[in-house]
Parts: sequence; structure tokens; C-alpha cells
Amino acid sequence: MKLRDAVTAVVLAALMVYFLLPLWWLLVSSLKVYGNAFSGNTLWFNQPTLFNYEYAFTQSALPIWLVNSLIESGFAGLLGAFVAAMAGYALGKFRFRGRNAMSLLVSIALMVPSTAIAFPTFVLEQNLGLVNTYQGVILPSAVSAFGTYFMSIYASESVPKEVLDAARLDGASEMRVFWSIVLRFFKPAMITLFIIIFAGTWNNYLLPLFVLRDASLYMIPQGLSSVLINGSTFPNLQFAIQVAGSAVSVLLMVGLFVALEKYVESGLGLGAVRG
Amino acid sequence: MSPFLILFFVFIILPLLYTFGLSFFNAPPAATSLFTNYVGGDQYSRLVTDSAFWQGFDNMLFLTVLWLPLMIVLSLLIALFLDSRRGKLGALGKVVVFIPYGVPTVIGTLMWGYMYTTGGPVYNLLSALNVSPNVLQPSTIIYAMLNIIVWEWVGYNVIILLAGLNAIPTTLYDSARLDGASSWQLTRYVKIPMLKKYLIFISMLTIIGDQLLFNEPFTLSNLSSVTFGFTPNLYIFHVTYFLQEFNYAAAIAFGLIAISFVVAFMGVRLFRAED
Repeated sequence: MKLRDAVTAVVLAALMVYFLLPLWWLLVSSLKVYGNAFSGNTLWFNQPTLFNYEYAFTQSALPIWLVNSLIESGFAGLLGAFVAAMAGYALGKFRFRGRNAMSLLVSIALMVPSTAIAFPTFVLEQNLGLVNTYQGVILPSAVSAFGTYFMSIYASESVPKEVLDAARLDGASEMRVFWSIVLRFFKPAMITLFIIIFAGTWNNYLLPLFVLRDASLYMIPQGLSSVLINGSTFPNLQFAIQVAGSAVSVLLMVGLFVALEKYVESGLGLGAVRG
Repeated sequence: MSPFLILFFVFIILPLLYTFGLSFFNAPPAATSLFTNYVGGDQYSRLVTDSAFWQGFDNMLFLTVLWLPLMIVLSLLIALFLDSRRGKLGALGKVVVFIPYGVPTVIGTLMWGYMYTTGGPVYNLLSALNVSPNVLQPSTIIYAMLNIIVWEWVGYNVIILLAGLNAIPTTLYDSARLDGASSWQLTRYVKIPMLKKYLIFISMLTIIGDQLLFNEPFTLSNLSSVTFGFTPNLYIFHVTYFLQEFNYAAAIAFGLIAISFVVAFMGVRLFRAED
């Protein structure tokens, strides 16, 4: 057993070094001025300072990008979870004309990654006047084929038919059944879906790049990458915005993922099983 | 159901049809509508002979050849390792491996990009090893990118494989042990065959993901020798934004969507064959 423990320790240590190294580098560097970040020991603290954070939060658009990201990801997640819940409930629990066609469409859409339709979405939004608006990002992000599929499986497996029938016998309308009974059963799955759509929107880069022109509407990734570092006049200030912004964004996302790991995992796991 | 249908139609089906339509026209720059000057399949013949597009396509194939086996082997090894170490240490390992998946890809790329630049930790490590330290030069940029992608995605694949390993009925293990199977035989003849479906699933995701690669090369293009034709998606962005040739961009986009359909279709066939 001794050998086994040693192997475990070594492999775990190697995994930790590789997977956490960039994050450690980010933490250490965000507490350094630009001049110190690329000289000496780059993986250890050197004259720690909060300059980068102070500068990024008071002198740059970072707070605006953060708020934009929260608004767009939050609304996309909420809207997406509800819309997928309704569609999934209908697909999972009812027999209706066009149900098979609908299921087929959803499984086709599952195969089209969102980056593939970023350009088509942009062209369409130009015609609809959605370019350069929050809705331009929120609405397409809220359509989740995966979410619909996920909820339809969840509906057929975890909402007992007897409960629904009992409510209907008591005279509850279909709307009432959905809002007061089905949603209660759906809660854990909807939290999972909210996180997945929230994170997907938070991390989305290509769609905002096409759709948002105004720097005041940018989300975090677009904002941070719009700050060029090479050949610039003030590399130290751009470095400040990039490391402070990255650190805050990573902290929020990783915190969310680790805190709600159970929900995230159940979503990914089911996606794989049912493919 | 109907809110979903509307969103689904407007943001998935309509853009696809719209792009497909656009790809048969070649509107002059000043035209009020993009649907002027019908040219039949000319945009597609242009695509076939466009060397910039094929350069991106070549890079993509090369990346897939490197990336797919590496990703599968690494994810499988890590998943088998973590699965054999249940309990606290295994759980810790799982979180560590999964954390990069929560890091927005643009930010992950920015961090690695900084670590690659002169004076950064990767640069210093490679100089200490007497290897040519600048991985951002044209001959090695593809490996630099490969590393970033592996770092980002291995955790996701590991979670999916772990879900697969969890789904293996314990009775299978028990009967194999009764037959006197060693732990290596258990892995080789029980675990890996039972994971086949999951391995097909992650291979499919990996191939499609590779083809649509955008965030990483686009972010790195500020720091390095990545050019506008590095991946097909990057090329679409270039044609849209800098050349302003929407009709041609539509043809490229549709070509790519068609390829991802073919990959996904083959994947689904393989997947169904496993059931």
C-alpha cells in the first residue's frame, strides 16, 4: 500500500502543478507592477501591490464590462432555463402532432455549435436591428438545444404522471399545473441549466465580437482582449487591466463552478449518457 | 412551448436558412440588399480554390491529428486514475482538473500567452532546459496552442468519463474479480470497453471543437505570428470584418456547418451502433 500512496501523491501533485499553474501565476502577477512581472522569480510575490486592481477598477471600463457580463449572462441563464423547461416539459410529457419533427430539429440543433452560427446570427440581427444591444447577445444565448433535450429527459424521468393527473382531476389548468407543480420538480435541473447557460454566455467571445460594437456594451472577454499589449505606449496600464480583470472574472466563474459542482456535473454527465 | 419555438426558429433555423441563401449571391459593396446579383454556386467554387481557406483547413486537420489522440489518452488516464482513488484525494483531484474548464477561454489564453512571452515562467523554464524558448514563433505556435486547449478541455472530458465509469454496474466488477481478474485486466477488459460510447462522444466533441477553434488563435494573434487564415472560423471573421464580403463569408460558414454535420452524423451513427 505504501507504493500506491506514493504514486497517488506524485500524480496528484503533477496534476495540481499543471492545472493550477496559470491561475497561481495570475494571482501572483496581479499583485505585481508590470516591470516586476517578467523579471526575477515569476512564480513568487515581489513587492506586492494592489495597483493593478485600483487602476482597473477606477480608471478603466472594467466595472462596466463586469456589469454587462452579469446582466447578459444572468438574463440569458434565466430566460434560457425557463424556455427550455417549457419546451422540455412539452416534449417529454405530451404527445402532439409534430412532436417527432420537433425532437429531430432539437437533435440537429444540438450538433450545430454556437460558434458555427455566430456569423449567421449576426447577419440576421443586422436586419432585426439587434446589433449593438444587450438583447442581441441575450436572445441567441438563451436558445439552448442542449437545455431542451436535458429538460425533456428530466421531465420524462422525474415528474410522476400520477401527481399531474391528480392536479388535473382537481380542476387545475395546464398553466397552473406547469407553474405550481412541474416547476417544483424541475428546480434542480433548472439550476444546472442556469449555470451552464450563464457560464456559456459569460465565456462567449465570438458572438459579442460580431454583435457588440460599442465599447460601453462589451462583456469581459471582449473588453480584456480589446486592450492590446504589444507595441502599446502604456503596457503597464494595459497589463493592469488585463490581469486584474482576468483575476476577478476567473474568481467569479471558478467560485460558481466549485460551489455548485454537483449541479454542473449532473448536467455534463447526462449530456454524455444520452449524447 | 411556443416561446421556445419562436426563439428556436428565429435564432437557429432562420440564421441557417438565411446564410444558405446569402451564399448564392455576390452583392456589390454599395448594394442595399445582400440578396442582389445571383451567382449560383460561384461562391462555393471560389471557396474550393481559395488558398487562404485551405491553409486554415490544413492547420485544423494537423491540430486534430495531434489533438484527438492526446486528448483521449490523457483524459482516459486521468479518469481511470481518479476513479481508482475514490475518497477525499480523488475528489480533490477532480476539482483541480475541472477548474480550468471554468476559466473563460479568452482569459486562459491571455494567461498562457503572458507565460509564453519573454521573461514569463514557460519561457524561463525552456531556456533553463536549453530549448528554443520562444514558442510563439511560427514553427511552434501550433504546439503552444495545443497546450492551451488541452489545459482547458481535459477536465471536461474527465468528468464525462468519470460519469461513464460510475455507470458501470458493480456486479460486473464482482464477477470479474471472482474470475480472478487483476486490476489491469479489469481496466483493459471491463472498464475501457464499457467506456466506448463515452469515448466516441468526447472524440466527436473534440473534432467539432477543433474545427470551430476561434477564441484561442484570435487572442494569440495580438502576441504572435497567428494570421487571419489560421483556422476557418478566424477566416470567416476576417472576411466579414475586414473584407466586408458577407456573401462569401456565408459560403465559408455554410461549408463549415456542413462539415460539422457530417462529423456529428457519423458520431451519432457510431454511438447508436453501440446501443
